[in-house]
Amino acid sequence: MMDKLRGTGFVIAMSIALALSVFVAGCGGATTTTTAPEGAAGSTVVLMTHDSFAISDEVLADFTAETGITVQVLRSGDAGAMLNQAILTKDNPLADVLYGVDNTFLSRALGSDVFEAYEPRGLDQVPDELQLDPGHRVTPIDFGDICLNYDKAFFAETGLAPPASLRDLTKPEYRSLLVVENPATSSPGLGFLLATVAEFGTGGEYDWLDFWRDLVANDLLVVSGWEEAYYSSFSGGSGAGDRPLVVSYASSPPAEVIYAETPLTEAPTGVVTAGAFRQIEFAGVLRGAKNPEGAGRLIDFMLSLRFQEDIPLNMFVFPANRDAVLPPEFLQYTDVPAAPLSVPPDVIEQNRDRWIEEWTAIAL
Amino acid sequence: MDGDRVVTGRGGGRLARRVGSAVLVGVPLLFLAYFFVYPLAGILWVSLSREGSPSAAFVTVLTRPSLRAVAWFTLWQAAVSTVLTVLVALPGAYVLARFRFPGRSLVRAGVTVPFVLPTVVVGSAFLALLGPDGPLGVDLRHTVWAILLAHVFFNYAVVIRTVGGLWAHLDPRLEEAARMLGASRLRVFREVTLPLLAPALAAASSIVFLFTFTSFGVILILGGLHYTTLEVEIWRQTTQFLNLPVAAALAVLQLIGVTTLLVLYSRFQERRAVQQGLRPAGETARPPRTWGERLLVGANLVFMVLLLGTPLLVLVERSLATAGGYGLTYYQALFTSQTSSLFVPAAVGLRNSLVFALAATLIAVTVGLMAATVIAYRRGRAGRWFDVVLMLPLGTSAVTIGFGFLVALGKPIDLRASALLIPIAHALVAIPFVVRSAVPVMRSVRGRLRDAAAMLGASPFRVWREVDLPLAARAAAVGAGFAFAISLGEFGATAFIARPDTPTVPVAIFRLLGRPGNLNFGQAMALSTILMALTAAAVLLIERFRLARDSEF
Amino acid sequence: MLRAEGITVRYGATVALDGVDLEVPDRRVVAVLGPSGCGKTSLLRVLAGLEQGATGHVSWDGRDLAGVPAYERGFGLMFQDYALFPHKTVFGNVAFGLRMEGRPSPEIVARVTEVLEWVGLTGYEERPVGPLSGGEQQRVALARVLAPAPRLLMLDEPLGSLDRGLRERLVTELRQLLTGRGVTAIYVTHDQEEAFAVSDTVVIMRAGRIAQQGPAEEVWRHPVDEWVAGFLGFDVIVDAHVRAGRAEFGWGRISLPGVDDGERRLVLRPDALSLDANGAFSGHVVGRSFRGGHYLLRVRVEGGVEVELEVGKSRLPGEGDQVRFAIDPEAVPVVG
Repeated sequence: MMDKLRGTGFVIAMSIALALSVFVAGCGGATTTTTAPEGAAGSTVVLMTHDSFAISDEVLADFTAETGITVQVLRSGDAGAMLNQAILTKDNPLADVLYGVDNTFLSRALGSDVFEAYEPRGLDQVPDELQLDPGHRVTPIDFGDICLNYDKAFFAETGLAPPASLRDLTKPEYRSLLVVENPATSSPGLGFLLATVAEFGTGGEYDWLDFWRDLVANDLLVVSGWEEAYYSSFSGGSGAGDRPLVVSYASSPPAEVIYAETPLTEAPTGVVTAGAFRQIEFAGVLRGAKNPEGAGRLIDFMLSLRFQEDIPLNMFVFPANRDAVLPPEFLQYTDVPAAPLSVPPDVIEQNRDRWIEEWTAIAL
Repeated sequence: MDGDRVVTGRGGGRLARRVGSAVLVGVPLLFLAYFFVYPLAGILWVSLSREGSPSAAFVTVLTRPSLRAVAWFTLWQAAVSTVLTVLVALPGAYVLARFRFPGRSLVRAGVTVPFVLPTVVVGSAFLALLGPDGPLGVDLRHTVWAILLAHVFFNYAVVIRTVGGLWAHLDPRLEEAARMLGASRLRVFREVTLPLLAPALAAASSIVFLFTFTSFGVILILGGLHYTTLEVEIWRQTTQFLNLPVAAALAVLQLIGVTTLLVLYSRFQERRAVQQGLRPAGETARPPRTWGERLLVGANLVFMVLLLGTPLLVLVERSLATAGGYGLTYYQALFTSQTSSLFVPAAVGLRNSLVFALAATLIAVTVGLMAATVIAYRRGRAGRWFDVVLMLPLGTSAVTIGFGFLVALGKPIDLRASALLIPIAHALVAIPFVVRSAVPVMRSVRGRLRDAAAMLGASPFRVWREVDLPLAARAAAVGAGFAFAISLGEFGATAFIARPDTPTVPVAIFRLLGRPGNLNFGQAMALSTILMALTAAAVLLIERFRLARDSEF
Repeated sequence: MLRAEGITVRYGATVALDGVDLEVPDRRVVAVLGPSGCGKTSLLRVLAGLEQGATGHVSWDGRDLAGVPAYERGFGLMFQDYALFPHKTVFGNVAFGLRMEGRPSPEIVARVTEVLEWVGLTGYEERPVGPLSGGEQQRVALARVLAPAPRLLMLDEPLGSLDRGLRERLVTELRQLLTGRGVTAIYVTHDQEEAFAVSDTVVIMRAGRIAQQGPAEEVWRHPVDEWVAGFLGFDVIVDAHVRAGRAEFGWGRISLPGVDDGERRLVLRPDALSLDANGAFSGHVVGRSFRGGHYLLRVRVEGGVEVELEVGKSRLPGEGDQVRFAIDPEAVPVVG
């Protein structure tokens, strides 16, 4: 008898728990967007982005206060996965705004025709070199510079000067010091590869492939992803590895300072401004969005100073709006590369696969 | 004459039984059809019909030598990993099943912990241990050994719990009878124990094989440049090259390999199914008596601590190693609020993880028990194919399923961006575990017990509820533990679906690890430690529910 | 009362039951006796409603049970290996049938306590069934089947795996329990002593058919054919020429009134023969075996036949001794 009662009670308790949990889980879901008139107060705009998207809750609250539109965020893994999802759901898009397409994927994104053209307010505050789409299907929101970071302590101890150019990396004194990410599996890795393509060119006497052959001959370490490169192989800052040179971002040293355990006066790592590759991130209104007007207003807001100035400390990239004031940490602890390298998006699109294959053949 | 027939009434009971039968078969089938087969077919169709003829992609896949090498590597590393894991874990399974010693349930819960941890976190621990500065002194990073070791680490629990679960119920008198007839211990093991364990061994091996066949994070982090599996390649083709046709062709290849294995496996199970009187678990366990036994228990415990505990200890150590000596700084940092929408307050992450895990477990146990009933009692082809189809999600590329959801689940209800997909995706992976643990026990329930219940006035439904269900439910509790762990560890397709902002603990860990800074790294380690503790606690709790009395089943 | 007519069960080519008719009057215990494989368990399963594919009619109090599933028949079946629910306690097992009936808890508790007292297991309620001894398990199984007071109780070799002393004790207890409560029961066994001890009527089965049935004493005294006699343990069957009320063996004769003339087969039961100094027959002892309360003597009569006698300890001849014995003509069944 006791068995039965216990059993029944258990079943009842679990059923309630199931119902509750499903209810709660479902409530957190993005339901179909409300049928309120677009742009009107009380409507929702869905923002589809990757996992690295971050912005202060207050900023989003300001947007809602201003426009009456609530922002719902959908996260889709990394940028490549996100773009794929957008392309796959082209006919019935999941969201209104897509944010996170970068210049390495731009050509593909535009070619797949997932965006609706929209010219936002505030575009005049964005430098021309960032506006890669004259058709306004996408709007630049921020950019990051993929560049080499070096461990200051190591270089100070050994008296070696940090490399001043990419070519320096092939010199004997820099042997066994560099760790890079696999461009086939990592976004900064790809950025660095593109930097070398831009720097050394293809074909010619000493092209980018020769450079890489020299790097490999100089005991280059290649790992799959940024976390492994930075935290496990890099020796500077919070890294626990043994290589003092790593491919990372220009914003990494400020992050080291901000997220240091004990307050620091100086960043433990520095950046090599030569050989930096600029990665620009865009946002666009999705074709077929349920709330295109709200989408437009969100993009306008994303270019506004309120949003742009909140970007650096959240996403650790630089705002596209030239009038945005950078936080002091960004100014103090890093150097923004003055002349970053770039490759046109359509060139990237055409050659990416082949370049990665050629790189793999050398690096393996 | 020795009937294991389910009681049939001629007349009144039949309708109820038919309806019950239809529900038992229908619910799992519908679940699988809608949430697996349909999305899978959808994405494969869309991908392959994308540019030109589908066959072009297959031709590419089959002729490119690098891709053939990838397929071959995937196959043999999975096979070797499986054999290694089983060999290594078998003694452990024996020790935990048959011997009683202090701390036993803690150890049993503890072995499940590795299962749950995100590979990116464990990867860093392994890299530290396997580097030239590590305890082994030799650099094993980015070698096959690192991959194999990591696979054993992650999958140890599968063998322990699946094989150990059945081992605990084996009647020791059978082994005693064999010894009385003059068989040495080794022969007893080979001729009596092993054949009786065969169903569980096959089940565990098939699961480990599927997991290692579709291994992703371990290969990426510990394999480095030189080692790629089909899963990694599919991911790369999809998310880096945006080459869906080739990715789809590879996914099909993967599926073929997996299905072949599963068909072989289910044929094996059918032939091997032996009805045996199982003993209650409490009866077969005893404290180690001889020095030989003590040595065996001790050696295995030491081994478990080394293999499973060391990487975990590295993580715990890192979570406590603050700039000013050991302390709780990182843990405290976790619970202070941050205004950025990126950082997840630990409380929120924990709550979300628990809710999803609970939902996933309940879905998996419900659907799984229904499916297990069908598989256990239905002889012949139908049951076998059902079994195979249920296992398929384990062996299908997570990327493919995730994208499949997007392609297929837009109508009639738009579930594509719903949080409900998360427990469902987890349940897809967890259901095979529930089935695996329940079926052997269900098959061993003697038909006589059901007849006895019927004679005492129990209708077929009540027979199921009073006899089959309690006996199978105890075994299903093992599967429930797994389901919970799988959901906590965010297995499967959830990384590739568009999720509303309900971050879970693994997601929080990823975000913390996504940028530099000691505080970030430390907090990631702290959160990982909390995740470990949570898993162990949850598994222990589930064990308690299962073993109210020691000598009960 | 239970009536079964023409019960036939086939498994492929094998016929397990062939046209079996059985009647079990109310408040009576019928023993079904037979060697292994004779179909007794199949018969029980058919009566219980657990067997598919049986032809024939089963009715209770005139109402045909065709179409009535096992769980609605109100019959109890105690299995050969008890089939106790391993995941329930003694209480859980015994209360099972009562719960299925939907009785309220206080009633269940009261009834379980009562029944456990009958079988001598008072206080065992919370114990798990696994670690119980064979005898205890048997009694739990018995209690479980008795608790819902089924209108027909069927017991399948219930004492099979117990030791002799326990068996003998339990047989007596069972008989008292069944007759004391007026239970209608079918008791299946291969042990004739058990069958006779427990039942009112005995049905002997052979290869799917009924060989003989009737009151226990009747069957024992007058086995209907040689096979039954042999099954009952009567080894000594001799040829005799019967004429005008006298049976003539090669080595002697007895009077046998009321038996038809001709060449007949007679059963010489051990209890029909007794040592008698003035007996009409003689022979010498070729063997003896101790049977607990008495000895069984094997005596070779002149003429080569070996007979068996029951002898008490007091007048025990040794091997090789010459003895004389008499045959009680009233205790000599004719089987052929």
